[in-house]
Amino acid sequence: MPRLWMLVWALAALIPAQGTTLRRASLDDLIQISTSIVRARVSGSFTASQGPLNYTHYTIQVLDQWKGPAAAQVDVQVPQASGAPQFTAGSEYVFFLWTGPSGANHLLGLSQGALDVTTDAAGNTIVVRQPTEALMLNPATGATGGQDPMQMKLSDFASRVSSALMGRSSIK
Amino acid sequence: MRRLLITVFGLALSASSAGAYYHFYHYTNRTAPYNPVPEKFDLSTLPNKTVTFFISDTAAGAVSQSSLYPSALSAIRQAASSWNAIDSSDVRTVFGGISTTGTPQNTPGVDILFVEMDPFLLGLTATNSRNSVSFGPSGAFVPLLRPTVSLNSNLSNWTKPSFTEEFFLTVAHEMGHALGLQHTFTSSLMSTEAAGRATSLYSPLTADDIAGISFLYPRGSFSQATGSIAGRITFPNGQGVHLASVVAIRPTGAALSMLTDPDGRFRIDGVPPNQYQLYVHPVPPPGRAGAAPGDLTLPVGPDGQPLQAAGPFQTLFYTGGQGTRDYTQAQTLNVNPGALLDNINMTVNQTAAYAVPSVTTYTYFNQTAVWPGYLNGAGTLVAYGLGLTSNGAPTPGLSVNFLGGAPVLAGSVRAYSGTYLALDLQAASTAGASGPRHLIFSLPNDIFVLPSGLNLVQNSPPFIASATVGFESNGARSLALAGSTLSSSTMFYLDGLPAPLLRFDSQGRAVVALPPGLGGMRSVITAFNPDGQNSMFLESSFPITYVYDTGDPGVATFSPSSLPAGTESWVEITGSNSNFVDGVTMLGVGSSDVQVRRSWVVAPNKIWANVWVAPNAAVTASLASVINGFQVISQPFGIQVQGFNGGAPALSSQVVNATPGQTGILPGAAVILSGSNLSNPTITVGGQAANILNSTPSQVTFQVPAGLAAGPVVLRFSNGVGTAAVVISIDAGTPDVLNVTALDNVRIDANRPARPGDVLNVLVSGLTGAGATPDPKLVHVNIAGVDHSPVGITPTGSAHQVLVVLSPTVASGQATLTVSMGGRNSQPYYIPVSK
Repeated sequence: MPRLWMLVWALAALIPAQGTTLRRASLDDLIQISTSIVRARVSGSFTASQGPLNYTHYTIQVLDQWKGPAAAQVDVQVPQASGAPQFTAGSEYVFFLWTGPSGANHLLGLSQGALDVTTDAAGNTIVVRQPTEALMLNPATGATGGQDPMQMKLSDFASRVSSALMGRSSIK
Repeated sequence: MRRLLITVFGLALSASSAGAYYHFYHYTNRTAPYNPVPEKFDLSTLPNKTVTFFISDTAAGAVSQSSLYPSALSAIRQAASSWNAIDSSDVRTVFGGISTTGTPQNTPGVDILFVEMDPFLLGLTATNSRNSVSFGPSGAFVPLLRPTVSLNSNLSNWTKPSFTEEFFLTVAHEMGHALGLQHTFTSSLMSTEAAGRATSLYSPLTADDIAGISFLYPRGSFSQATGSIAGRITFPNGQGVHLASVVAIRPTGAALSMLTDPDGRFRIDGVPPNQYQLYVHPVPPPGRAGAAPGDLTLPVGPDGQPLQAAGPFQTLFYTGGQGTRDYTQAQTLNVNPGALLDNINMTVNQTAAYAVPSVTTYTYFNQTAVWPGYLNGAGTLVAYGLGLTSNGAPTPGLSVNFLGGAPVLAGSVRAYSGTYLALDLQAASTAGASGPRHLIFSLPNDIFVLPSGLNLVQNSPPFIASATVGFESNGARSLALAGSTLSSSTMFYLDGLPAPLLRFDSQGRAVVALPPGLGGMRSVITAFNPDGQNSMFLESSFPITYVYDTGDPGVATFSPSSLPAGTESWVEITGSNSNFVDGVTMLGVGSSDVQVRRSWVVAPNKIWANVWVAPNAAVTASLASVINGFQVISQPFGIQVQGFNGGAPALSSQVVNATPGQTGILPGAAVILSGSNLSNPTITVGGQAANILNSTPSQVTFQVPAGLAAGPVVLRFSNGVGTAAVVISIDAGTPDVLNVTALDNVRIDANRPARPGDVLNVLVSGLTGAGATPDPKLVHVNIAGVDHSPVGITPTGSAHQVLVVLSPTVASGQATLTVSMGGRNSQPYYIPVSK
């Protein structure tokens, strides 16, 4: 039975120490490489082991979807590792998801794959990318990415995703 | 000695400040002074203090490109070797081959698996420490028992110009975690940011990595040969700053760092004696709330709860009084061997946000981005980091400098594609200089220091233009590689497997040995130079490849296949259709209770090995593997561990010369065999009866039969109750220098004297038995009193080619050259030297 997020912190003493190697992702990287982009509310979580790894599984209720197959509810697994985010039940986020060959839904790039959804002083719904470490060039081409926003209106974000995906389509 | 084992909780220890670099820490109290207890292996539980890394038998089926599986195995073997070769560290590391997941075993070790991960997550290590504290010679620690390294199963996610290098560095980084090292922020192998690691396949470890592992597992005169810096970082109200990163940096050299404890105290141990400047900076912010800053695992208190880091603050250099953002005002600290520089204190101002969280640098080779940047002469370094640009232009007030002064900018910084900075650097200022350079990005209210953000080099990257197949005198195939910036110091790889340099031919081509392959397999050829550059900088889009037309791993049998616990035994491996190569082919047994002490290829289809089984080994069967270049043989249940037979002899293969001052195991010499149940001995060596000189239940002195040829031989022992056998290596007689040539195969004589910088090919007989390759660390070439370490040793017939680079300190004239190994010295050989 899924346990609530609050239990995760209480169990921290039992979590083995973790070290990670993570590649940094630009917003365009996240848009292009994700298999699904959704705005969703976290409804619950539980922990489970797969081999040597412990994962936190978040159950999210999809509110908006800009990429990927339609789904009302998605299970997202996040390895318990340094650099991994923790999500609060009841809160909204934008998730960049990647579905692996096994069918499991992974959060892209640990913390990089989630944006906070909040409201600015003017009452607009905005998405916020926390200040994070350096963003990389496209390693395959050496091409530079565009400006990565610290925050933007949800509507602008949706447009950004759509235009990025359309751009990719037009290249194809 | 029985170790004291008690629980973390309620433990009272003597006070000490936080250790250097950063480790996985447990604090035993919640108020100052703090008692840091690191996670690490208990060396007393490891055979020969050796941590063995195993790859799961599920890996072959999990990786996305099966053709790269042998390269992954090779990378793991080499990465383990990297951590094994640190003189100041007491922990040894080795790749143990393939293991079956779930094999019962009692000795600590590390498992490596390939698992499904998203494309941006490359590796993840869980330390799986025990929730208890042990005590060892260097203090309290939390024992690591069975860390697991998980790697992304999609090998196409490693996209640095050289897959071989990036994958290797990721494995070596994760192994560092498994040994107890956390992330640092000095561009070391253990740096958080993969793109910021200023290391290479050629030189994977930095001074910070070496100090970090040596602090955990100190060896020899580590603490006496290096110095320490200690102090406290506080906010203006006197409160200590937790997890501030304090960095000791040489303007054109190494950087070593550590993080402060919850009271703001730090101590950097293991600092190589030299002059340093010191700065303190906040660790990079977390990706989002809930995650730890800098991708760290936060230390935990006695209640198991993590201790949070302090918020951002201004970066400052140490001046002796108030800190400064002006690096030119930084005080120089002289670090001396065995000395502590204490009370290096700084007060920092808390800030609301990070001015520049982190920076990544790049240079371009055609369309290929390389990070951190390399520069040969004039060029442009690209930098990216939040806070460096604003509205498509450099942030107002931004300036960029290099610690140590050179190189210099040709003009002002400029924006590049809006969010990037382009730094145009002058060639003249860099002439003659090489090595890492540290960048300082200065804003009106803060600075950001990027260690090793630029690597100055004196040459272009290596380039391979063509590969031509040839044959060596023994019938083996080789490849002649034409190209540029290839030298005797260049390392060559086919995919992830080393291809040893044999010589340069008359056309100047590098002739390399081919690792055993698989028919139909296409391998990418890459050259790696000591300056960190590799041929993929220039040809990642069109690499030179080689296609094997033959090669088949075949199968192998192991005899005996059952070994008793608590013994060391000779095991013979016979391959079908095999072409084993000494120094290339490795044998593994998939349990950390079983260790392959040493192996010899005694015939193309035969390997002899000494295999040790722990006294407390789990009685079970383990997978055995033979990895021969690209050929992988794995045999489930290949070795069965049995219970110890109480009356049977147990031998140690470490036979030593019984005559004081002599080290070789020579024919006719008196030698000592150690073990247990050695009474009533009967010994044969190489099939010849040995004369017993003296015996006790734990030691037998006997005479090695005369007339034995140099090389591995089987020692069989009987005590009348049971028998045992191990392999010992009969040393050759005295080394004999047969010839000295330059790399162009011209003999060194009056017509062609040796010159400083020449790579000399010294042909020597009598180093080891035919075909075996001695450890280069044991071989010394002395020229005119100057010790020269070999850069390569290759068996050739019954002799060896030993390559050395003639030191510029050797004076002109007739020089005496001698070769020694294990205390055995050659007669003098004379070569003319001309400058």
